[in-house]
Amino acid sequence: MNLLRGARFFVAIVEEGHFGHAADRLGVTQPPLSQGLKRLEETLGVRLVDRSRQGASVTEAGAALLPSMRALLAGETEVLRMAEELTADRQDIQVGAVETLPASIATALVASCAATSAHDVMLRTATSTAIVEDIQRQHLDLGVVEHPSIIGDLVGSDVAILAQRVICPASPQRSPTESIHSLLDRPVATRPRAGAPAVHDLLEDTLRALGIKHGTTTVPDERAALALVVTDRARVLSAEPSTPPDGLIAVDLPRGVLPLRLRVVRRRDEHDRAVLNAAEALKSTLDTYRAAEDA
Amino acid sequence: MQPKHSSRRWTRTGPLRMPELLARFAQVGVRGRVHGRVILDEDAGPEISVDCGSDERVVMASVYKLPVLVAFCRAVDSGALDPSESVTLCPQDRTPGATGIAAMTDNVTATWRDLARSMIAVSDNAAGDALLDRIGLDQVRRTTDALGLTATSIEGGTRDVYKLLIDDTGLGDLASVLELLNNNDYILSSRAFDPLLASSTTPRDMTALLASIWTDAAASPGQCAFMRTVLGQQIWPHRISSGFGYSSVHIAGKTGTLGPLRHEVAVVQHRHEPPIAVAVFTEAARADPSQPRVDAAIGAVAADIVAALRSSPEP
Repeated sequence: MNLLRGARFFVAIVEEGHFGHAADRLGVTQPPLSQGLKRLEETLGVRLVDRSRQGASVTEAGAALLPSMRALLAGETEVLRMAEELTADRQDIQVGAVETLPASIATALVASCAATSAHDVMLRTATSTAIVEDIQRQHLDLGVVEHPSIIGDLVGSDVAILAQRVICPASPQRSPTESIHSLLDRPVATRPRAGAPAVHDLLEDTLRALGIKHGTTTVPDERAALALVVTDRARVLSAEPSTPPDGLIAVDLPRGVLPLRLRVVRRRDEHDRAVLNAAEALKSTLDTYRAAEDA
Repeated sequence: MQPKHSSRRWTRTGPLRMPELLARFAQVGVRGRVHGRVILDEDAGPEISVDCGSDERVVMASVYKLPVLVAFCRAVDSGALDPSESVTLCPQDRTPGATGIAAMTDNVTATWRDLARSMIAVSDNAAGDALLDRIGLDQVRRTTDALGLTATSIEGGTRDVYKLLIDDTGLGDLASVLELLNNNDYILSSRAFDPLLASSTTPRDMTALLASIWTDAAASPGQCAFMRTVLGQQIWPHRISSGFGYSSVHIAGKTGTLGPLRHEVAVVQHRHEPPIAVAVFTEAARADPSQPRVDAAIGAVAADIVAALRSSPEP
């Protein structure tokens, strides 16, 4: 038996002194009101209201329980009010994105997201592994993670495939038609494996399949990676479409070779329209950067 | 006669939870669910087990061939099937696959029990579906019900899985489907990967099934001995076996592989010790058909589980 519902009926009957008026006040018809009160009385084992021709009058026991019943209803109101406050406080949509998502694309994504709703969009940079965990724990609403990654019970979009270029030191010897083997004659600087183990392993396996033997070297962040490139100790694979810093050049890779694969992820039970719309916006904006399909 | 073991030496109660197993899985980019149990006499006291996602439903892939094997043996016990009867499998009718009769060119004639052997030893799709057709899906379902495997549902064989994949991808043939399945640029969604729609089970149900084979409860003692032999003939060294690099151990089991799903359920027995059933079900992030790191991790996890269950404080 729903005690809140019963309390609602009881208090209305007492305050109106009349079943019909109480029913009107609650927006129900009289039969369910009478049945509801009867069920409450049976559950509590106490007669709460005397029914008579004149109407309804509260019993002694009913009078004793009335304050507690009112407190119960007041408690319900408070819970609903607080919940509304909490959801009203959520002004922004929290998006986690991997560092390898280029800054220029990240800002475009946030702009497209913000255009879909009145909410602000807060962007946080984290590893694929951390983003998936944070979304599961509700510390984030959406994520742009590298693929392939384990996303647990989250829902993931199709893969957005972004072409990457090799960042090398600028040098007169560089030719636009250089082979991938000559471009990747130093290890590829990558983030720590634990942030996205399957992505890391896929990169290493792909390099080996291409006959590239210099493998990878771990760096903590993008600037450390570029520093290694400028001193000719590493190469970087980057989906950043803009011109690299002075002293570096970006050389195209053959179509479909060593792309950046991304997915937009969210909780399976996400029902907030704003978040769902933002997820759609993220995906369609990402798709505009997709490498052109083969004919 | 399989030696029986009592739990006199074992004082631990309740399942072991091993969070470090989850770390092993995360490290190779897979999601894993496992169960391990020491196979003891019925009256052996509390269950000694390792529990990590043990009751989560997983799509079985070729692990479904294990319940088919048990159903086959029970059909033999009831006289419904003569295991030494010969049958010819023709290339146009049989299910294709990479191993065994499924991979051959011409007609193959074999007995039902040898088909059962090929189904298990090399995960022969043709043999498996031929057996399933002969026994009937109902018999397999009655078997899992009778053995109390309430979290297991067999929905069909490999042929049925292939049909789901072809229908759901809208591609006309299996080869195209497999190409898509093994491509990291695509997320393939299909009913074949839905535990509610495809043949599914839990790690706990599979160790229970293995335990019933090792305690002569799954079928007659003769047929259970046959099953233990056949499972011991499985050839794959790369998964659970890879965790045990020495020879004083016997491993008998069944793998399952479908796209990102990489499984194995097996019984590991060290000389003079009780057998230990291990079920490892994984789902990889990568779509690549060959993933040695994942296979090695399955072996390492199995080894960790067995080591934890073997060690026990002496009373």
